[in-house]
Order: sequence, then C-alpha cells, then structure tokens
Amino acid sequence: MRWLTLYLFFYLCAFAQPLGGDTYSIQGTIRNTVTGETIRSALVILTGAPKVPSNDPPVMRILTKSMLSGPNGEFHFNNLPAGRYLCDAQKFDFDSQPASIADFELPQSPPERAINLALIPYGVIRGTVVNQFGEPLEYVLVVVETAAASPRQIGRLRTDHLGRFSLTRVPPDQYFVKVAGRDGGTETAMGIEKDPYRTWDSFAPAYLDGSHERTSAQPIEVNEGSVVQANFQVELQPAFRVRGKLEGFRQGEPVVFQLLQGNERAEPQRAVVDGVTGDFQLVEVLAGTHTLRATQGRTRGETPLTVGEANTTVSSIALTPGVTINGTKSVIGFPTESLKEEGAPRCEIALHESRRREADPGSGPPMPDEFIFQDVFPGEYRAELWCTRGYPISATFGGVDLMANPIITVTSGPQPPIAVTTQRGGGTLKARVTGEADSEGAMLMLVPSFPTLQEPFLKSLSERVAGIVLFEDLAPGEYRLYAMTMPENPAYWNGYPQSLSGGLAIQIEDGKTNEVTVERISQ
Amino acid sequence: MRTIVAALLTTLTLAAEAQTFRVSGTLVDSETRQPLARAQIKLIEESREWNVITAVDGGFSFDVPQGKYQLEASHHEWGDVYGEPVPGNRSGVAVVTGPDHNTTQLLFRFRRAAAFHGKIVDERGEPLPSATIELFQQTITRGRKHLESLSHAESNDFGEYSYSRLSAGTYYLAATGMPWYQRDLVRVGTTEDSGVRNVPYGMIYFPGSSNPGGATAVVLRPGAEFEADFVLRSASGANLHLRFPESMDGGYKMYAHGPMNAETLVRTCIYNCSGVPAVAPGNYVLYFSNPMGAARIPVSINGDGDVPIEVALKPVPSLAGKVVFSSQTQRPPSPLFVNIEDQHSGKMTTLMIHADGTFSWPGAAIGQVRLHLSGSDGFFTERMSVEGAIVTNGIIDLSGGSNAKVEILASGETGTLNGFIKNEELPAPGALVVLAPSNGTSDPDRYFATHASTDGSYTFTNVPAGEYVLFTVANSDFEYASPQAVRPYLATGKHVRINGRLQ
Repeated sequence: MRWLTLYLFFYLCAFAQPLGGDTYSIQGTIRNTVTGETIRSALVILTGAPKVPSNDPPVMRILTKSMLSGPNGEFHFNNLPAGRYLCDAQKFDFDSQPASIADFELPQSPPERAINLALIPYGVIRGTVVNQFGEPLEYVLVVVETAAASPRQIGRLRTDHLGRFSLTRVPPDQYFVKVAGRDGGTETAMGIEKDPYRTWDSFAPAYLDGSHERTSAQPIEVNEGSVVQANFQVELQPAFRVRGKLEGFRQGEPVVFQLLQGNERAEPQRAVVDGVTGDFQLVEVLAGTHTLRATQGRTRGETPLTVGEANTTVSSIALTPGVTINGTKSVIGFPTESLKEEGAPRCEIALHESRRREADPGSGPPMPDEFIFQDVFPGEYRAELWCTRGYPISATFGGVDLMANPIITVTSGPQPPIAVTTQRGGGTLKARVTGEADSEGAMLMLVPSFPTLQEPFLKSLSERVAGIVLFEDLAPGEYRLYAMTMPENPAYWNGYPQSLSGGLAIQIEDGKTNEVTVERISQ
Repeated sequence: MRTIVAALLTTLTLAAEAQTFRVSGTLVDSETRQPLARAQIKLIEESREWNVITAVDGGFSFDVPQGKYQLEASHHEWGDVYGEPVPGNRSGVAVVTGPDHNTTQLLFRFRRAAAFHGKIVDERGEPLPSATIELFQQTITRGRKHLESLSHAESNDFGEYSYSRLSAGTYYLAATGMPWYQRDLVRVGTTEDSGVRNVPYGMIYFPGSSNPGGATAVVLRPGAEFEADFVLRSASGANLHLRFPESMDGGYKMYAHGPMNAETLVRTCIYNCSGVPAVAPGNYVLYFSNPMGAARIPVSINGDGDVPIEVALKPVPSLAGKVVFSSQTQRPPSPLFVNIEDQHSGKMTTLMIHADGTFSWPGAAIGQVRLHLSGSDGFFTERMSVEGAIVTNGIIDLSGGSNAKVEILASGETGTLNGFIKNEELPAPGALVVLAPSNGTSDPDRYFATHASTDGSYTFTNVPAGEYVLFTVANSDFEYASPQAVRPYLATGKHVRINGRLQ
C-alpha cells in the first residue's frame, strides 16, 4: 500500500492548481463485493490536493481526512475545497484492491457527490480435529498449501484445546489442507530420558478427504468471502519411541527430525535430543517403514527405519554437509559479452528434490553464463528450466542427458557440472477459446510431446488479451494443447498431464506464429 | 572379610529384585469420578520407570520390586501426580512397596487441565483482532502465595483467544489492544487528518472493570472450561513525551497496575524512544535502564493531551557480595549459586559464586529482591548482612543509585528428619507434613513441606540445624512458608530439634 500512497501523492501534485472558492461535501457507502451488504467500521481515507486560492507561487498542500464507516457502511467528508481527491477504504479481513478506490475531482465529480466503494472479502479456512472417539485434539499441526505443482505453504496452524484451527485472509485459490502430526519438533535437553511430551499415541498424517498422499487427495476451493469448513477425524494408534545417535552433531544448533514416507513432505517429528552428546529419542512414531531424516544447519543424514509394535533403536545417523554443483550456460545466436544486457535470452535452472517437493536448492550468484548450487544434499533431484526469449536445446549433468531424463542423482563426492545450451528465439502460439472450453476458471495447458526440461506451460483464460491466450518462446516441435476446468482435473495439481485425452496436436516452428481455436474441455 | 560382605549384599539385592509387589488401582476423573481410559500411567523410581495404559474401566497394574515410587498419569497431553501435590511442587504422594504394604486398589483422582476461551469485541460488537489477553495465576512458590503473570494470548481475526493446560486454581484476566487500523493510520501520517485518531483500548480486568481493584478472581476446578469475553472501549489516550537528560536515547518498558498489585507489561520500546503515544487513562510504571542509568517512574493518566515526563536517571543499582562458610573446613562439593528473586515478578537471576566466595551483579534491575543459595544441596544462608541498601525482613530494596554490599554466612550444618504419620494407629498417607522454624522467621528457605507416603512415612532432608515445630494440615493450598499462616500451629505442633551434621 505504501507505494500506492507515494504514487498518489505525485499523481495528485501534478493536478494541484490554485483556484478559488466554495467547499463541498461528499458522502458514500462501502459494500461487500460478494454479499452486497454494507460494511461497518471500515477505515475510509480521503487524500486530496485542493486547489488553494490566491497563492503566488501556488503552495502545494496535501489534505488527508479519515473516518470509520457507520453502522450502514456510510461515510461522509465535509468542507472539501475544489480539487482532485482519492478516497480509499480498507478493513482487515477484506482485500482492498481495486474497487475500493475512488478518484474524483470536486466540483465536477463525483455525480451527486456520492461515491460507492466496495471491498473484496477474503476467504477463511476453519475447522476442527477430533479423534475416533470424537474428542478434540490439541496441538495438532495443520498445514495449508496451494494446489499448484510447486506448492506454497500459506498456513501452519495449531489446534487449540477445543480442537479448533482457523486461517483467515485467504486469497481465492485451490488448497490442500493436511493434518501433519502433533506440533512441537525437537526439544534439546540434558539427557534424553525425560520425555517433554506426554503422549503414547499418534495418528498418520492425512488430507481432508482421508488420503495419505497428495497425489490422490482432492483440494478444496476457496472463493472470495467463502468460509470453508475443514473438519478432520483422525485415528489415534499406539505409537513408539526410536532412539539413536547423531554423528557429527554440533552443540547448540537445532536439529529437525522428519519421518519420510512415499513422496510426501514431512513436518518435524516430536523428539528430544541431548544437547551435548547428540543422542536422540523420537516420540510418537507409528509402526511402519519410514526414512528417518535428521537435519542440522547445513548438514543432513538419513537412515531407513522400520518400527514394529515396540520401541526401537536405530544405528547412528551421520550428519554430512551437502555438495556444490557448478554449471555453465551458453546461448546460440547471441553474443556472450551481451548476455548481461536486458533482453538477452535466458534460461534459469532449478533443482527440486524430486521425491518430497521441499528444500529446493536455489541457484546463485546470478552470473549470466554460470551458476552454482550450494549445499545440495545427496539424493534424487529433478531439474527444471524456465526460459525467456529462447528455448533449451541441450542440458547435461556430466554424461547424463537431462533433456531425456531430468532426474539427477547427487552423491556425497565431487559432482560433475551442469551445462545448459539455449537457442535464441522460439515459436509463438496464439490460442482462442470458444464453446464449452470458454468457461469460468478454465486453464490451457500446453504440453511438449518431445523430451525437454521445461514444465508444461499453463495459462489461465483470465490472462487473455484481445481474446487470445499467448504462449511465447516455445522450442520448435510437437505439442498438445488441453483445456481444463480446474478443480475437477487432478492433472493440474499433480503437475503432469498423466491421463488427459482430447488435446489438440500443434506443430511449433522457430520464429513463426501458430494460431488455434480450442472448443472442448479435455477429460 | 570385606569381600564376603559385598558378595552377600549383592545376593540380597538380587533376591529383593526377584520378588515383586503389585501396585494397582483405578484412574478416575477427580470431578466426575468417571474412569479414565487410554491414559498413560508411569511408575517412576530414580532411574527407572514403568508404563502402562489404562483399560476401559480406568484400571492399571504394575508388578515392581520393593521401593519408593512416584506415580504419575497423563491424559490428553496433561499430567498429574497421585495424591494431593505439595503446594508449589509437582511431587505427589509416594507409593512405598514392600511385604507389609498394600498398594493395590489405589484410587488415582486425575485432575484434568482447565482452560479459558473467549471473544474480544469493541464497543460496536465488532471482533477485535490482535488484542492481548494476559493471564495471572495465583500460585504457591516457596510456600507462599504469589500472583504471577502466566502468559499473553493474542486474539485472532474473529476476536477469539484461548488458554489451555491450566492447573485448577485461582486466576485473573486482563485484556487490552489497539485498533486494527492503527497501522494504516501510521501511513496517513501527520498530515491534516481531522478524522480517526489512534485511540487505544484501555485495560479491562475481567469481568469488565477498567480499574485493577475491580478485577475478580476466577476459580477453576479441574477440567473446567471457562468462557471469559471482553468488551474493549476506546479511550482518548494521552501522549507521553519523554525528556531524557542530554541526548540520551533509551528504551523503556511500561507496565500497568494489574490485579492484586501485579504489574502487567503494556508497552516496550527499545530504540529511539522519545514518547509513548496513545496511552489510555490508568496508572502505570515506566522503567528505564541502560548503561547510563536507571529509573522507575510512576505515571498516572487521567485524560488525553500531551504529558511531559522528565526522565531523571540515577546510576544503575548494583549488588555484590561474598559468601563466607561457617566452618572453615567445609566446602560445598559442587558449585554454589546465588539466586536473586524479584519479589514482584518472581523473576530469578542466578549468579555464580567464584572460588573466593565473591559474586556480583553490576547492572542490577530495579526492584525488591530476596537471595537464596542453590546448586549444592544442604547449604543454606545462616546469616546475611547488607550495606548500601534498605533491607526489610530479608528483602533488599534495589532502587536507582543503590550499591548493595552483601555478606552471606553459609552453613552446611543440616540434618534429616524421618517419621510416620498415623491417624488412630493407621498410616495416614497423603497428609501434608510441615516443618516450620519455631522462631517464626520470614526466610522461606527455612520452611519445609512434604507428603506422607502410602505407608504414612515422610522424610525431610537438608534441614538447617535448629528448633522446629512439626504439624500436619489438610489444606493443599496451605502457605506453609508464611509466618502468619504457620503461627496458629506453633503451639499445637510437635517440637523437634534438628541436630546439624556437616555434610
């Protein structure tokens, strides 16, 4: 908001001119864009540059007035000199933009000296967590993340003693809500005998529909002003303790333990670690097969863990630092010395931990022709590229062709470099959407039919300009274009078009523009 | 010969290990008397513990060697001990097993956690986000009642807050806040704003008083769920303008008067603190402390407008001293510390005692403090003399400018008292046994309390040598270290003399 105010200030200054005379009153009402109801106790701020009479030279004067809207959403400002004004409203559980700002010039506008402002209500996710006996569970960690292929966590909530949690100010989108376990993480103590948590049972992490894996879970949809109920019932089962020792443990640095299963992201497990020796004890571990991961600062270790119906001990976990991976970027059809310039073709590479969608090593420092990944822990990663003004023609990791197989295996020794070659240019696709495909919330997904490091291109119909959805910088080759309605189609949040049919085949050529019309929704 | 004795002892120990005794009983809710299933019961001996989960009927059973155990239960991540706990202490009634003791059919009354929840609204009935709700608990620490600030909760966007996992007991609540649009008004800045002012909400003490005298205690039974709602009203606030000597730039902490003379933190400023904006009417105390000096300034606000405050700093108080041992040959086996307990907040500051017996706290906090020795069991303050500060009943007044010089005469001359409490010839487990000095001293370190175990036995260790009175009380809230509370028992109790023995 601050930038907006500054902008308004200069904007208004440009219009301020000396002129004489009368004063005016304006009045208005604030409404909820979804329900149409009036909003009381909203803060209304009027900023203006009145035209000050008989000043030579003219004196710049910015005037600010504010009030809270009344019981019927009404507000008014009196004694306003002629001039240009901006009036904006806000309230903590409403999004301010853009219908909440009125721009007018007294006395010519607003008509009848009345302004109508509107605020968009945020969404809310709230719910409860109970056990199989219907008893509320306290201290449960509930995570909310976006349904996109690379999810973003927007909430980490903890249930209260009535089992309640709530997340407010939620922008409209699709989300996964998951009960991730009991909150608390690792306690550091003298010795590990004393259990800081008084529990003997636990439950398996689960999504709202009961699924234990994101790939099979259904997301929820939050709209403007909607209050989504997310009630969980979890099955408490006897849980066990796991003891072990961390090799390479450093005193005074926090440790996080995670129990990994499948491709799920894991939240910190409740544990106690001896702050001197590195001995540890995990509590509330359910019977089953896990991978136990311990992370301390820039070191990490993993060990397989099978827990039966009893407390158990694992062999020690060695904490080892990550490795460094260097890389080079070259561009064909563009001088290397100009790569730093704006407008140069560019591909950015990222490494995603392929199995668990977390801790993506960032690249840096941003040199135009080279990059470096630091602290990459051993494991499997999926390489991904984004390009502008060009497209990738080759990518290798040592002897591995990343275009054919984007999965790389990082070991603990020295690593070969990553080399990416980009071709300047690319083709363009203009897509028009009609018929059943032209529906609210629909998306277009353009999927390369050839091996590449680029993700499918996804565009919302709301990005249309003059009725056209534009895809640019496309590598030449064959693609399929699908139209999807969002919430129903799991292909979107799983990131890959695993089972879509009915797409249009499209051939893209370098430097050329192709036009298509999409009519049908893909199933 | 010595070898033979040792071997014999080993055999005896093994024999004792082989024979087990049953500890069993039922876990019930202390209020409803309903059995509690799926709770974890622990039987704890110094380095070993046994766990069981209660059955549907609340039943539990252990078979353990002869010994003395603590019995604990946890249910819904909340723990409790068997029997009434010693005031201010978590230990309950010990279970003693052996050939002559019946430790079956124990009735474990589990005191569930109590909780508060509520909603904060403004005078228009609108929910108030980010309001602060402070919870005070009346506790017994070191045998005396204190009102301590337990924690602060913050209301969410629905104005809701909650406190959970509370022991049954006596509580006070106070709420305050700032309007949600405060942030946005900062943006409006100092232009000619003629409208909304940054008006604070005055402190409201439950159940709705704007003055601390009207704060009413809430007594929570175990498992209680108490709803405490607040209506906060905006008050036209005053702006305090702080005038520091020279160009000093100091931080402050501002407390409001809370219930029962407790202080409740309402504002803090760390850097560039030239004033306290929008202060609701009420009584406050401003604390300043930095290397240049310290001050404690009471402030009374009655209305709005600008209030200048002269901050006259006095040198930061200091506390230093020396521990001298009454017996030259005797030294504690492990390091000794001086704990400095603030009588108002209960906050503890721990100082290391150096090899030559000296300790020092150069940048002490303003307050009234009491000193305790800790770190090596069996050492206590026999006598204390203080120069450079006023001392009342062992409490040292550290105000700005005072340099307290303390000399502590420490002694390790302590004894042990064992006994049985019997009621009409039967053991009386669970009775609170108090050992109080007969001279009625105000030093809380001379008062002791424990519970009789299941066989009626009790033990006091590390008791300073001297004359004492021994008595039992039924009241678990007994202020056993308060001379006033103890006085009626001095005549009726049993007089004992503890003969000290150097440790």
